[in-house]
Amino acid sequence: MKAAMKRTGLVLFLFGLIQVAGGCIMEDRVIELVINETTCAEFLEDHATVSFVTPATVDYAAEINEILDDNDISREDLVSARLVSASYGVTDFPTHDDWNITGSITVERNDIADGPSTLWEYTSVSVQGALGKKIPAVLNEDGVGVLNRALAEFIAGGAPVLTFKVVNSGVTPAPSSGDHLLFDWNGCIVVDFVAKTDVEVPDPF
Amino acid sequence: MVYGDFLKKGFVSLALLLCLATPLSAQIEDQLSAYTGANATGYLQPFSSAFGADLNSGIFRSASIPKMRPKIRLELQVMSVIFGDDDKTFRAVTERGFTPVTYANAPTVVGSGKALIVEGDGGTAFAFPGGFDLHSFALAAPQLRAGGLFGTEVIFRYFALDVGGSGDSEDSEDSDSGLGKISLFGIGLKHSVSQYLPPLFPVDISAGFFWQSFSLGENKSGDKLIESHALSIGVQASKKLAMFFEPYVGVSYDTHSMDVSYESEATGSTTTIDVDFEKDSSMHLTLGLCLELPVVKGFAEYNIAGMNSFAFGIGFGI
Repeated sequence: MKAAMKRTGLVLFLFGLIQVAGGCIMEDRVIELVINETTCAEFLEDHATVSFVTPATVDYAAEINEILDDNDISREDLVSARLVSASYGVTDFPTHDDWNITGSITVERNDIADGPSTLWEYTSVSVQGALGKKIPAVLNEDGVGVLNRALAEFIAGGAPVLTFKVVNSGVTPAPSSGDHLLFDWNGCIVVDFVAKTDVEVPDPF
Repeated sequence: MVYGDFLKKGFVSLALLLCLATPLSAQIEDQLSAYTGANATGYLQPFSSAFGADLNSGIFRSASIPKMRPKIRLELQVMSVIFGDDDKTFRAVTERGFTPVTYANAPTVVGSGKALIVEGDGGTAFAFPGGFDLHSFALAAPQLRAGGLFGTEVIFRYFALDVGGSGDSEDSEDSDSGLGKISLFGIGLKHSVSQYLPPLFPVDISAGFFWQSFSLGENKSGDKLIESHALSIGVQASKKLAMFFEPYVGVSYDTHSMDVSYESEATGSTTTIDVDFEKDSSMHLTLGLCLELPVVKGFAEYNIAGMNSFAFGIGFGI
């Protein structure tokens, strides 16, 4: 009798353990990841005039596909993608003289008619002072709209191609054929991609 | 046959519980990578507190320690916390140059799986990652208790397992299997105070301490993703009743610390982010009941501390 009680007690105890631990330890969840990526466009400037336009074309669909591959996420998993911020800076400045430049960065679609719209403006920026810096850009709603629409179209299955342009309107002191304005710089945009993913998580109780 | 099946299933279930935290640790790094540190502490805080509460549970139990008689037991136990609504969100702040700087109640690691998106200047938006929508966080631990020498017993916890992969999403093969490593080591002593008290003293009393080190997973650099240390120092009282039952109560002072090291690309380049949680300390009250059969032992307890927890388990020995 005593042995039977012990055995029954043990069986009941193990049964309880199995119920709480065995059947429902792992639970399926759908969670939303945030993948934030920075994409930069390079501009190589070599000018003898105060006004110039320097384009840089980005196959944005290919860029995003690479980002998704790196993170093992498919296009169908994407819930949203929006521009977070932008910055710019000079990466190479071989001459000794400083220049102050004024102008804007525009963005437009190559695959459809959207833009050009100003993404941000820069006013009297010292090329020397911007060397090695990441200067935060004050974004313009029209340019952000072009980018966000391109991102939304990518999620919907499109293949947007974007052209960023430096539209420079002023240089002080003015460059000349004997004294070229010569420097490299980049403009970078930060985008948050929100993606759904199925995971199994331990949640036994 | 049924009895054997139950035993087999029981041990399989407990073995699975031992590895509970590893798949979570592999996934947490992906979620954390959106944060550069300022938000990571808030995001992980409930996980850190739950870790501390779980580790400092199910340690001491009965205060009865034979003065000079061998006692050895192999025990398996489950420790868990249940999360409340307060654990589901934290005060987060936007990062990555987003303007204007905005504060929001974003999901913690145990919060809603849905990302929170806030709108900014000029049509920009910032996304805070979702959590894992957890109700509970449980750990299991094997424990060896040996003593009966001068009224002292030593307690060990040990478990180490490499379940393959690092959870590194850059390595898809690793990521698929990707649970990483789990390692637990704990050691403590418990000494009978009753032996110095009059024989008719109504309850058994003991005092002891227990120290543990726990590491989980690997980050993308191959370092430990999560490393945790816990210490509990306390006194216990218990009383044998009705043959096999022994209710017990314990009061202890617990400390817990946790370090998390992960890779983030939130700044535009891959950076290792180290999040060191400040050492957390709290008083801890335990109320429990032991079932003391001749070979098989069971217990269940509730712990009131910084984060409340419960534990239960089974042991075999004398």
